[in-house]
Amino acid sequence: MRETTLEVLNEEGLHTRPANEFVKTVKQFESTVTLQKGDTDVPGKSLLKIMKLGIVTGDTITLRCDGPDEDAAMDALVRLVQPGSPE
Amino acid sequence: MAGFVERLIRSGTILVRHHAGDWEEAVRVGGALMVEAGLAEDRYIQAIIENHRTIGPYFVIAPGIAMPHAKPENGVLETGYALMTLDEPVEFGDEENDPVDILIFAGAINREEHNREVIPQIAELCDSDVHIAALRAAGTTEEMVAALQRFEAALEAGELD
Repeated sequence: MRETTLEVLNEEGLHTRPANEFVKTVKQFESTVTLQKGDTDVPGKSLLKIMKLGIVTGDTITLRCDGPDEDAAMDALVRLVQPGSPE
Repeated sequence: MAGFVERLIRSGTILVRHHAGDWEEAVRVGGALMVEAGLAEDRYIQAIIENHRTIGPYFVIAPGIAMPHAKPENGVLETGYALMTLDEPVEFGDEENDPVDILIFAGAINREEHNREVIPQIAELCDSDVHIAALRAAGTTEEMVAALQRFEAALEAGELD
């Protein structure tokens, strides 16, 4: 299991369009992904549940990826949440 | 901040079982509710249509439900919403969630408010099968308002999961 806590740097936060990209990316991988903000943990493939979290730029979230391709999944998701970060 | 339901009822931006020939007509008619209520300028509607053409139907967020919206700088005048249901669903080009018969238009005057306040309230509604079924069942504006008020009461009572 990979776990990363990071600040959302994507300038639009995780509202509809970025959240949609996030979900599509999650679905490309076999690993199970969860996203946590505060005390709330939601499945990474549920757009509505991610939207409910109301994530804005500057929020801190924790991503967890668990499965055979967890490294690749984590890398791809971190790039979405922190665009421009080193690969 | 006033909630989704309160603002929707106050602005009178509700249209029930309208007939639209295609997604673009649905967006134009629903968007016009926002414009007529003074919540947005005409270019808000145009921005939604352009976004759909260039980026795709990313605002189709759940089975049968679209949330057309545009960035604050694209003609949003005041934070507000419009709700439209269709008598016959239309295709937006989203494999997973087509066809669409509920459109929730959203506009917020700044991005932070949009992400932190507006989006979560709409997501709560869309994630509730019972309340979405009630919106679809509403045949008049009065029935729609009553269905929305039941949702708001459940939300405030913490009865949604």
